[in-house]
Amino acid sequence: MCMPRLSLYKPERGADFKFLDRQINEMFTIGGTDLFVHKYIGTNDGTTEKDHTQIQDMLFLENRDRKYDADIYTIRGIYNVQDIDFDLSQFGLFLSNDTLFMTVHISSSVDAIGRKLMPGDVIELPHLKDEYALNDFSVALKRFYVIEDINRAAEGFSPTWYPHLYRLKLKQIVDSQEYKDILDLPASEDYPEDGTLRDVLSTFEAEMNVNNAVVAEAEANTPKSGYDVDENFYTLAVDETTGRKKVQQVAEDGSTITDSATPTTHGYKGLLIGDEFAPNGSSFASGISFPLDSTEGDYFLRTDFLPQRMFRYDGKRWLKAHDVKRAPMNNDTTQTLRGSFINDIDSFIYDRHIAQDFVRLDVGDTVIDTEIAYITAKYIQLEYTSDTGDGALRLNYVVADNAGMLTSYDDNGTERVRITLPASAIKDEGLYSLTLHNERTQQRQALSQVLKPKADN
Amino acid sequence: MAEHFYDGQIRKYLVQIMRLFSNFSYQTGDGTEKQVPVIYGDLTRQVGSILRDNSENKIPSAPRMAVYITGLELDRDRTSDSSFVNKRHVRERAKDNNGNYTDEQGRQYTVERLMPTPYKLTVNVDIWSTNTDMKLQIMEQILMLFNPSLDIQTTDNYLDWTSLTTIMLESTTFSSRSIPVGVDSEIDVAQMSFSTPIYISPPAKVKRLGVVTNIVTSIFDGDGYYDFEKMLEGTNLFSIGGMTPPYKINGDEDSDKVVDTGAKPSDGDGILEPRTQITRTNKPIIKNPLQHRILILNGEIQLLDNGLPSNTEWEDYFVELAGTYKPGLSIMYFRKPDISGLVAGRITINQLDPTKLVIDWDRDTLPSNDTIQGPARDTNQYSSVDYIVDPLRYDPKSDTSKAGVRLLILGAIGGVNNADGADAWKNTDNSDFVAGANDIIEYDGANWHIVFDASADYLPYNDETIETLYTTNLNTGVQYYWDGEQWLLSVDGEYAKGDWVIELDG
Repeated sequence: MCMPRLSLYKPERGADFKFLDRQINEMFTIGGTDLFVHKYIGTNDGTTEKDHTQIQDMLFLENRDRKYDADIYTIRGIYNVQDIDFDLSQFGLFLSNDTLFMTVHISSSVDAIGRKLMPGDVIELPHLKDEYALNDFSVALKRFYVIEDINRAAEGFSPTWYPHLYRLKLKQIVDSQEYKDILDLPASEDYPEDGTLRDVLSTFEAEMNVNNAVVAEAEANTPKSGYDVDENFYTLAVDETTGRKKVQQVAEDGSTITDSATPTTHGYKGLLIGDEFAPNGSSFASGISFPLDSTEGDYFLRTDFLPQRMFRYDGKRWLKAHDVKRAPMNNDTTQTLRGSFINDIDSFIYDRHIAQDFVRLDVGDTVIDTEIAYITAKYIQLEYTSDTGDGALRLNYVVADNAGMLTSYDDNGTERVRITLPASAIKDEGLYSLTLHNERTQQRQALSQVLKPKADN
Repeated sequence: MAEHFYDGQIRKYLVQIMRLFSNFSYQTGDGTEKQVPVIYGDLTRQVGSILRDNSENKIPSAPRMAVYITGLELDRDRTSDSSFVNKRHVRERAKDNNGNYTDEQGRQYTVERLMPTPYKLTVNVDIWSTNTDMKLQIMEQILMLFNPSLDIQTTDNYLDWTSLTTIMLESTTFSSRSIPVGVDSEIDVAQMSFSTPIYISPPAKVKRLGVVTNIVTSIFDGDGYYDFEKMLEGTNLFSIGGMTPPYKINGDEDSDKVVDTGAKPSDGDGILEPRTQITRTNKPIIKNPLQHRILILNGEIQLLDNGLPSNTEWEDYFVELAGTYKPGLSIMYFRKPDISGLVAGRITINQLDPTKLVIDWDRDTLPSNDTIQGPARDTNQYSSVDYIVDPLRYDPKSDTSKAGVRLLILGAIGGVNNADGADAWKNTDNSDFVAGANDIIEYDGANWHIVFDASADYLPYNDETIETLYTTNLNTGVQYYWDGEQWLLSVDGEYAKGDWVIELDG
């Protein structure tokens, strides 16, 4: 008889392994710290949901719109606490050695979470809460890390040669698209009104405040492009017969300043000069067509020109005084190339209407009982027919954004469409055309999408 | 050495560059748009801690952009004449009492701008993103703007000729990471380097734009002729205003002595020969309404026409002038040849007679009174008289006659040939007091004394003979002026063109 060969390694994970594994797990229970795990469950880019084994962007090979389990799992972990220094080398403060290497028990973590921990899982360390941050929040700031790598820990191999520990490489998360799902959680379960985790943890608000202050200073320095000669500078009127400048034109009786004394142009030369003001602060009207009852010296701003153009009436003709070249520098939709090509996101083309009716409205009317048989629609367009031509008064509403706007009423047994408008919507009395649409096309489109055949999609 | 001057010019450029990169956003998969904050990249540790609430648990937000200066160098290619001064003449719109602009003309200014110094400012814009799609979203919005450059503007001041510049994209580093990624994935930063030609300007010089009211041709050569060459040296008046036709001395018809008739300034050869030139007088170079003579009489001002008070109403006249008439606030200045400085007063149109202006003199501008010493008067009141009286109608025994009282008398008191003088004016010792018209006399409590003898232009107590004398009547506050023959109101009289000016805006 011979003794069996002594070997702690066995092809199967036997009782020795289990004994050691229980002891090691117990050591984590005794000496480890709690880890709250936010489990990565996949991605959702708004159209496609993918699970944690899939890739969102097959080109760039990245998972951006990550989703996390609503449940939070608790496991234990052990790591060496390190001193950390702030690094200002890029974008302000980053933690220079904010990489943690942590060990967790394999079998208990898999039991708790339901799978092996993976990069993208986010771990909260409750023992690193900061109660004394420099703010007026009523909650302590939590510490979040994301797993970058996970491997078997070298020190986690027992004499059985089987591993018991995972070594996690952790980095602090940032307030970015990837962790939006976590940072949208309330900062305090008890007081959800205190805001989200992002509100208390992220530096975004502080950075935006800094950014806004800089923009405000820039806005104060240069509220509009170009140069201001209309607001505070005086332009001498020009006598059209002599071409000489004069301050004011006085009538023959020596008392009246005639209309023709208004200047024909600015009087100042330079790049980007011209505002939506008439020279010398003179009064002017504006619109998309010239008025019929004008007198010599009148100014009129044509708002349908790009850029808008100020005209002066010389008694016979409307002559150009100047173009409105100055434009605000913010994200608005001015009559400029930038405003109409890049920033204009509110102009739509309403294609085929699904129903139409003409209604006669008074100023302040809100309820319109149409003759259209009841039908639902996505968009409502109301056009003032007395104001024809491009730029005519049109009111556009998105039904989904205006609850209760499109309803029905009983017209002697027939259900018809009733439109309820906001109180100040109708400012002119007259005949309106009401159309209902289910399709509309945005004017601003990416070049690759322009007039792309929809039927092929 | 230079006085302290700082306008934050580089700061203004940097602020505009940061504004240029502000307001970009990215969109997450669920359609949420989030703005990308832009901050200055070279922040201090203390501010960095404040932004993080002094806690290591704060998490930085991504994406983010940082802007910082990497270079500022003199741009020798753009240097120009450093002594060049450019002038701009501008007119302000007038303001009403509430500080709002009106549609009328206000003050006029000349702004002189000295050639600024050109520099090339280079800045880096770092874009930190956490994924490639995010980076591309941001960069696509930025890169389309530089075709080939973008204008930025530091101010919208029309007079700031350095405010407009361009910013050019010089280079782009798509990623700071090495590819392939090693064991440690660092943060991914895309870097764009920009350059912008800028100017750093010295302060401008702002001047009130004046109106030439008169050209004083007081430069003569040794022969008594106007030295036109000297007078016009360095000016372009000759070509603007021209000259009147030549004045013929003693019927001299030899017009060849005139080098340029001035009728067509550009036709002349431009060579002036003062010795052979015949005197011509200048004619007005510009049309200026202040070309009238005016008359001041008893605190009222009237325009003169052909030497006589005209019917021109001041309100019509003011229309010709710059500014807006403000009753009681508009100022009129006068120059008198016998005093230094200008005399000024605030004017109001006389509502009963609009051809007259009522002037309220600023007493600080009136000429100072002369000191007339006396026997008993307070030394602080040597420059004034108490009353102007007619000695035939004034009772010297009245309570008014106290020691030190001083009177300017309109008529004579007694006479040197009289055996018995005027009884009322006898001194306490019963001696006669004799004085002439226009004299100033003083009472010492017992006897009367002459302190100014008008017949001899003599001040006995000063022991001084004078030519002119200013004194103020304390009873009315009116100042009088002795011209050697008579007492006149000190500022009354005719004023020629150029000796007066109106500032309507006050």
